[in-house]
Amino acid sequence: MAITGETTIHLNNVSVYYSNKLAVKDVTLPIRKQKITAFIGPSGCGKSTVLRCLNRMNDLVQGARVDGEIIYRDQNLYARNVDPVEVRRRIGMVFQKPNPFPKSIYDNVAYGPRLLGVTRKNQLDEIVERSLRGAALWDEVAGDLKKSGLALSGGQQQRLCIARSIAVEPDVILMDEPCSALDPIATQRIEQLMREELKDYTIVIVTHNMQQAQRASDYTAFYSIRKEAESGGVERRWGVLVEFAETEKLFNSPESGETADYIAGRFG
Amino acid sequence: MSAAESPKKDAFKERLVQRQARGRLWSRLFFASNAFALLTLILLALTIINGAFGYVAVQFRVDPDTLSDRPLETLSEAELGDVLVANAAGRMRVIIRDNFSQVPNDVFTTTPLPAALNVFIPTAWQTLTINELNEEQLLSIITNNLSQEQMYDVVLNNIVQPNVVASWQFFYSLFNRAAIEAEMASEYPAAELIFRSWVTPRFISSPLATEAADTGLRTALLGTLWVIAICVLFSFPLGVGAAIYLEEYADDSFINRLIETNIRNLAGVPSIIYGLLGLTVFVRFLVTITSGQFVGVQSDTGRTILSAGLTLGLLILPVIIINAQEAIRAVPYSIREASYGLGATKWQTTWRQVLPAALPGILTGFILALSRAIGETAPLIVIGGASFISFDPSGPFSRFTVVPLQIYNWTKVPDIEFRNVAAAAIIVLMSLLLIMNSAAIILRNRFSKKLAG
Amino acid sequence: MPSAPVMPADAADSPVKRKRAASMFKSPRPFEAFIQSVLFFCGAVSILTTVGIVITLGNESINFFTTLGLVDGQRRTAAPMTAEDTRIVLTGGGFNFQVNDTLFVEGTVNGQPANELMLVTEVIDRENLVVQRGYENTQAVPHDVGVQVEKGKRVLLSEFLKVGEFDPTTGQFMPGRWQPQIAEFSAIPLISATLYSSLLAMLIAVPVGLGTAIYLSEYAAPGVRATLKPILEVLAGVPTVVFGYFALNFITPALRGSPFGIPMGGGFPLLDTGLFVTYNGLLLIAALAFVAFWVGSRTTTGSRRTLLTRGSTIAALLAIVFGVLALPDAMCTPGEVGVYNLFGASIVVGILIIPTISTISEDALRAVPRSLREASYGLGATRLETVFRVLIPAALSGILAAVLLGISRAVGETMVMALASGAGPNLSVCPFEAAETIAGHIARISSGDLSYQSMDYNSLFALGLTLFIMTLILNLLSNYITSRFREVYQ
Repeated sequence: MAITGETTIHLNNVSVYYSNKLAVKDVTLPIRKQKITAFIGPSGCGKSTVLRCLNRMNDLVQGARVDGEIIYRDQNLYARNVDPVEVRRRIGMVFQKPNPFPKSIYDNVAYGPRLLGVTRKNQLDEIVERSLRGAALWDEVAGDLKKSGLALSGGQQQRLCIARSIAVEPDVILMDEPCSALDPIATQRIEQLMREELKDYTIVIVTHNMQQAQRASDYTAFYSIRKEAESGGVERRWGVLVEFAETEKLFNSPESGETADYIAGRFG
Repeated sequence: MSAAESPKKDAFKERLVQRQARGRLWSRLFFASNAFALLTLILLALTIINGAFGYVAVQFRVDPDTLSDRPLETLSEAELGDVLVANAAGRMRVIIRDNFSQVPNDVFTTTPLPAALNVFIPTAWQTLTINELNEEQLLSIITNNLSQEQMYDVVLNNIVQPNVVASWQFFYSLFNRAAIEAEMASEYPAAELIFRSWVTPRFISSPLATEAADTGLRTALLGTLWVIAICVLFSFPLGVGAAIYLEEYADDSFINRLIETNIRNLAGVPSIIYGLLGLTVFVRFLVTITSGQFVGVQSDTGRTILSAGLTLGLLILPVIIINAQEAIRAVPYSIREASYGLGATKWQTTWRQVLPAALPGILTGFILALSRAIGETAPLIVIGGASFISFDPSGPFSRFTVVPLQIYNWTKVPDIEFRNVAAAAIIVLMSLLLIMNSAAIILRNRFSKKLAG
Repeated sequence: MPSAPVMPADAADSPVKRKRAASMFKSPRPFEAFIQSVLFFCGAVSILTTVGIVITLGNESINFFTTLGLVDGQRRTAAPMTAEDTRIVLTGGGFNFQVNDTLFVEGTVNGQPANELMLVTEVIDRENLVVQRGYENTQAVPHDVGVQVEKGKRVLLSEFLKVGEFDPTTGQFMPGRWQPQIAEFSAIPLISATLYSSLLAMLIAVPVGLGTAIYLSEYAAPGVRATLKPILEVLAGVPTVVFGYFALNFITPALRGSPFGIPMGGGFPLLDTGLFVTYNGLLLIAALAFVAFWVGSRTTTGSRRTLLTRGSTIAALLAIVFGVLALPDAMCTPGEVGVYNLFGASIVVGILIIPTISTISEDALRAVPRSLREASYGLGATRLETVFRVLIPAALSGILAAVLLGISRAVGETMVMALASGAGPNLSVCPFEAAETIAGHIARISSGDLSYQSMDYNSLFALGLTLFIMTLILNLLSNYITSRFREVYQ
């Protein structure tokens, strides 16, 4: 693969199991520094599962197991002595449905820094403002930071969640279909945000929307499903990484026929 | 339509009519089940009302109307004092002794006043004993130190001395007035027929007494409050802690499944079994703690408020845990995810996000569990709630009685007057529960509103 | 793949980064660990409670079944005894001793108490017994005249669960009795009253509870439901002691013919032979009418058939009513309903269990997927047919769990029984007499000041253990059914 640039995270033969059932098999993939990497593929292909491995959110799922290596800052994140809490303080996450805490906008954004023990009012004020500006939300809410985060519109809520996650100054932001619950205008706003305000962050985004991947990302990884009939008419399915390339290349001249079929809308 | 089809169609129609009729009959039966529940509730309420109000035949030693031209309760302290001097001058020393004495009765008359009484004594009388005071001086001690209400009690108890000689229940009083009057005329010609409400402010504020007409509920109410206070202190942290553990921390291991199943089974153990547990563990085994010996209380009985509170705490613990678990489970997973995603630890997530969101639900469930504890009787009988104590409980190491225990004791007594008192106590208990449950409902409504907006 | 041993630290150029740990490696979080163990302890308290219950009940029960209890028979020695005498002469009232009874006789040796056990080997008459001295390793000592002679009693499990025995002399069946004062410890009267009252309670609670649940989940409009549901919640929140008051002050007087203390004449069972005949006659007529109508309805068509079917339904209902009315007379000897009786108390227990059964059953009915209902209606079934043929079978496990839980509550219900069903164990088929359940007995016995060494005290725990085992089986069964039922819809 003719891919250049500095790598922030490197996945090396990553397989994920849920209760000993294979979910994703043998993913090897670099995540480029300060670039946007999109994960696409049909539902059930394991793209979200891989994303959630990157900051060990899968640890919260009972019976989840990860094989292989995920190298971040020269360290395997799944090594025994690595603390998942510390990992998540460096690799932040934005979820599918906007999930602000039932608290004020200010408290939402200040939550992360407070967890770390930042308590000085002026420091917190500064972080809140910087983060809200970073998520292009400051101008809309500056007058009323005491308002509940739940009172905002869906798109604003999602930008609040982005502000909340950049408040702890992560290296990487993982986005799990961040626009799937939003209308087209709000979606556009988030895409613009990723391109402009968040351009210094390494971003990994899972999306169902191929136009979004095409528009917003620098690199794209395409996942698909493999099946195998088991005894008793049960079918075993797991996800695999089919192709990883620069977005333009993947969409215009995919190497794999399966990729071509998928982006042409022939399945999925 | 062909002629051959017609009988079939008729048969179908006929069956349909039957089926629908059967449906109507059963739907009425199903509705009747609900009506039955409602009916029992109404009958229950009527039964309590029936006991708590009704005519009583009161016999006075001295008719209160002869003492003054106005009703006694409207007289001032000085006027009541005059009544006392006029009718019971000889009893004034006894009245003083009963109200203010702080020495044994046998030395009361020989002890100088400042030592004998726990009230202010003018300097001129410092060396005198009670026998050396004249009527006027005795009266001044009484009127100076008793309120109008207390004076009224003194007059009532020492002069009027009302005595309930018969009592009739509400509906009988309502419909059989003539029979009651006939019975009065033949059995209690000297008595007066009065319509009495057995629930009065006085009933709530005065201590337990052996006579049905005189008894109050204060001792038992305070007992209930003390026991519940202990119960709250013990069961709230434990119950919520266990619920947090099971919902947020416990993995699917054998021990955790055991705890979960165990709690569900404990919730179904009859309350009287908890009484036997409390009797053995708290009253007997931990007697040095529950009697208060370990903090220097001179007592050797473990049948105390502390034992009762702990027993009831254990009893409602499973209910609290199950309710709290439900409240914690109702907190959306996305909130936890968001918190973990920002690098929060488990406890930070639980303490800062999950608990505040679940708190109204936890409190609602807790109050409901607590109202169960307030009405619980059987385990307290077993651990030995005293059937009669006249002194107010003063701390966790006091002997105790509680309202439901009094209801039990009074209901057991065959005298009809005690049924009246029991009904009055039920009204007080049910009001207490009503207040608590309303609080729970208000909390619940607030909670659902908050989640919605 | 580069894999450096040390992770490069963050540049500490902002408050957040300064506060963040320098590395991603695990470092101990003592506070988190502490909290976790505290929380685990909270969870484990429930295990401790169960262990406590089992040890408490088990331990005292073992005491009950192994220690030699003493029963005061009000008997005394009538003559002094030497250490060798095998004849003992007694005076005093109390019960008679029998062969194989153990006697406990107080004695002194050199001023020290030296009590002796003796085994009765022969009964000459009420006053004169032949005994084996120094029984069970006690020392045979001389006894004065007028010394108290008590019965040493060790209760065996076989006696505890003894239904009764045939008296060989009269050929009559002697049911087991629970009478600690004469050293009879068969728990059967208590157990049977417990089961009997639970059965009566369930006769009320199951149909009414289920009917309520079906109405609320399938028939009631949301507004009606919103008014009916709180009624059940209030019913569930009434303390049981209040229900005890209700049983004693409304249900029993009503059964005795004077609800609210206003005499109405009669009384429910009307235990006299004349009415017994009447009821049975009416029952017979109704039953015959039912058969006639039913056969008729099968052999005709048209509107006559409808009429006859309706007639058979009415006849069946009448037969049930008269059957129920005739039943008490068949079970009881003529007389009045007792002031304390098992029947009234059981009805009230049934009432107080209605919310338990209806709430759980309603949840089970509501958990049946909508699609099943729609499928049934789509096939042209009426609402009633859907309820009986689709919903109840689908929710059966939940309903069963509710019923089991209801029985468990009825078995353990104390206050209503203690107040309204009367004192004194009684093995009788007539529910209108006083009888005592296990829970009621425990409450009554423990409300006095019990000596911790007495047999009565230990017997409470043996009874408690019996009750615990009964309810535990019911609860486990109910939980098992519930957990299986959950799997069906997940």
